[in-house]
Amino acid sequence: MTLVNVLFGIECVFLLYFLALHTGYLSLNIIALLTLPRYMQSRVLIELPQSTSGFEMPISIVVAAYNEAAVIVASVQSLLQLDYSEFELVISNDGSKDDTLEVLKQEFGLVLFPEAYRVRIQTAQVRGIYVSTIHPNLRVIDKENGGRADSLNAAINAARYPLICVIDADSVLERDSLQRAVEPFLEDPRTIAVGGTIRIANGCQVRGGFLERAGLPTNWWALFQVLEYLRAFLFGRMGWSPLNGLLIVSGAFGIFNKEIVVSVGGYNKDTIGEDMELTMRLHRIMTEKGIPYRIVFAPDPVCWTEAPEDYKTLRSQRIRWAHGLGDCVAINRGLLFQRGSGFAGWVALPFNVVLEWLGPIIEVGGYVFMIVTYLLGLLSFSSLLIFLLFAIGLGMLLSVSALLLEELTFHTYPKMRHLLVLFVVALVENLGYRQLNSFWRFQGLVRWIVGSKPGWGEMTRTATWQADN
Amino acid sequence: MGFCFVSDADTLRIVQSVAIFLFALALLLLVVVLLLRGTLLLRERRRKKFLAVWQSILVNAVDIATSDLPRLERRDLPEFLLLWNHLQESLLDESKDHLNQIGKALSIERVALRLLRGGNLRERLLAIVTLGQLRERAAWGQLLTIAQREGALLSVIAARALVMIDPTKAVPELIPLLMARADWPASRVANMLRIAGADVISDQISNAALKSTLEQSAHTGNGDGKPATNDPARMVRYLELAYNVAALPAARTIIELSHDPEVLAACLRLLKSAEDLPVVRACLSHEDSRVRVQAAAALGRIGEDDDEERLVPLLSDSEWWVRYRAAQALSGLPHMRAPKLKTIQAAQSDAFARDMLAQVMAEAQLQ
Repeated sequence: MTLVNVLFGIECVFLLYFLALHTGYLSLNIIALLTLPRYMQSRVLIELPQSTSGFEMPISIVVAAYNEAAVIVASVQSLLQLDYSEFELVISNDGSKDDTLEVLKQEFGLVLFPEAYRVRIQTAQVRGIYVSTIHPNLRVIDKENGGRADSLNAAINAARYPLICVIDADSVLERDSLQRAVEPFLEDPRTIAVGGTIRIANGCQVRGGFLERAGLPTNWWALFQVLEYLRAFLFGRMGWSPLNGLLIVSGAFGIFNKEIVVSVGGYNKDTIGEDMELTMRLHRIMTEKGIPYRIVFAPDPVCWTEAPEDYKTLRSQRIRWAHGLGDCVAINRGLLFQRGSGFAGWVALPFNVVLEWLGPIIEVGGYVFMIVTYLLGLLSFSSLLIFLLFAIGLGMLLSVSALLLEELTFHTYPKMRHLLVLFVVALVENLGYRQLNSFWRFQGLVRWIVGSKPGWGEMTRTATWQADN
Repeated sequence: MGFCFVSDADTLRIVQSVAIFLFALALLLLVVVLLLRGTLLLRERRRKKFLAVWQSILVNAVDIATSDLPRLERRDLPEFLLLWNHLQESLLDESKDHLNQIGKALSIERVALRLLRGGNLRERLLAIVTLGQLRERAAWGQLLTIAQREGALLSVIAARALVMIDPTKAVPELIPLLMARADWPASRVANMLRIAGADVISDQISNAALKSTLEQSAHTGNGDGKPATNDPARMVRYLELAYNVAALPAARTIIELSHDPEVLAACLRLLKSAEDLPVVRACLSHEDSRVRVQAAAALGRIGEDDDEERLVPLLSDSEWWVRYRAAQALSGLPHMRAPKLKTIQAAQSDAFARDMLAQVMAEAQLQ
């Protein structure tokens, strides 16, 4: 075998990888294009006033809070104002080192309450449970620090309603988000989890805990993430959902059947990708037990969250995510080609393993290989161009198609200028940002292989989008 | 220079063409996006104009009848239906007459019938709601067909429209569907039954719950299990919307007939009279915790002082909800006071029982 043959073979692998990746995304895009319009049409009833029947499913909103003193009061106030017939709010203070508990006590008139707390999922020690004397549907669990998963498990233990809604302490929900997110549970009793859309709050105007005006950030890192999230949610998740192949219900906003979550052991505190791990475990265990189920993505309940605006925080987040994906795949490897697992085990997980998890090896390797062999004179310029065309050109097309889906459905960003900016971002993000992301994912994978566990990493919050009241 | 698939010149040409194609496609998508936005802005502008005229007319019509109506453009019809239905759904029945007169004057029933046949999902849903609000009898056959044959969303909305048109005629038609359609969301069904009213549904829903239970018993007796579509527990839950005079006898009979814990639990939720105490007390020791929970809750409503001795053991039940409901029931017994509850608490050797009583006493204090 000559060197040229070897190099040709390697180049083919890279090209096939990008072809598979983009074909996969294109297929998801087409599925989303076919299903979204009908979904949007069915939402007309939600635009009309809803009368309650007393037969709605009550929801326990569970929130893990760690060092959230700056935002927790505004978050709780906005959550208490959500439009839903019956819900309770369970905040789990995960051993915060700041004044999270104190500000909650002060603002909501919390008093220590002798609750007969039941430990259905083991967690770090609960120090006390408080109830609000102002809002009877608000309780706060004060516990030793155990991480986000542990904290959510403690809140799930205390939750009293059949559905739990998991959200981040700094997230902003739209007023009717619960009503919209609960619909799949009403429409199909097999539904065990529903994920909503996450959007980037940077650049938006939030007042009184609710979104007042959608906008775009001026920071480029945040701008790239706006488009990234559009892609991930509008055709990533919307594509997998009709196939019951959704492998992640985001921890920033998801609704679950509580008993099912408890029966599979709650969130796994030994992984940093606890939201994806739980979703994959639900697929695996429901399949093992032979119970029909649906894990659904609902695109219109929207949750706004702050994205990192600096290189260091973003890099650390993406390395963590890649590491978390490794954990999820390893823990739930039984789902891979599991009998009866349908699209989740036969298509979505292999897709995630090969193209998302191991993909960065090929992607980063591909870029390095192509550039080095070209510089060494081992690769022709035209071959390099073909490679770049696949890697970048198709990526641009997919990014722009996400913009099309957004415009066909939600038109979230109100100005023409926003669309033009997003179009430019869709082109530019393929010229460096996506490659950088691949490199971070590669780093995450390497760290996972060598067993070095990344820390939580402190998110630098600017919260410039939050108005005072 | 190095290896390649084809000659450099050929490849460059191909690459150039593909690059131009991809970029042109991206630009085309941008143009489509901008065109969509342009259309949306035009639609928004038109909508604002429409609302400026029609919103005040329709809002005023709630109080005062009006026959002096401006011309309604054909392209404004979907927006009109949305606004008109929005007001209709916010109003009580007696306030809807003037809006219906406007609807009839504009012949929106004909628009709705047309959309019902040929519209997209959004238009069909709007049409169904409109026909229901208008009580349009001419649509009866089409709506019934939709209720019988379409998917969950369209069918349950059509069923609601039928109930709005003529509850007395609709309910007998819908009861068999209600029993068969497990995919109809309980909240929508309950909403529909509320619209029909307890006068209309009480006897029929009670009979349906009984029939469903009997069918289940027959299947269980034959050893062929529970038929997939028959769910007596679901039907029994709807008894909550019926008059007690019809619901209670049905619930009592069902308790005697059924061994399904879900059905028993649903029946126990309905019992509110002391004459049911023997049945409720018997259920306190049921092997299924769902039944024990509801039995304890029922004692919370109808229990007597001597039920204390029956409830105390439940404070140590393995299921949290049984302990909670038992503690609530205890604290709600006619002559139960805080000092006595404290004595009961102190006498418990089981920590779970003591904790639960402490919680319930604290809840009472907070209230």
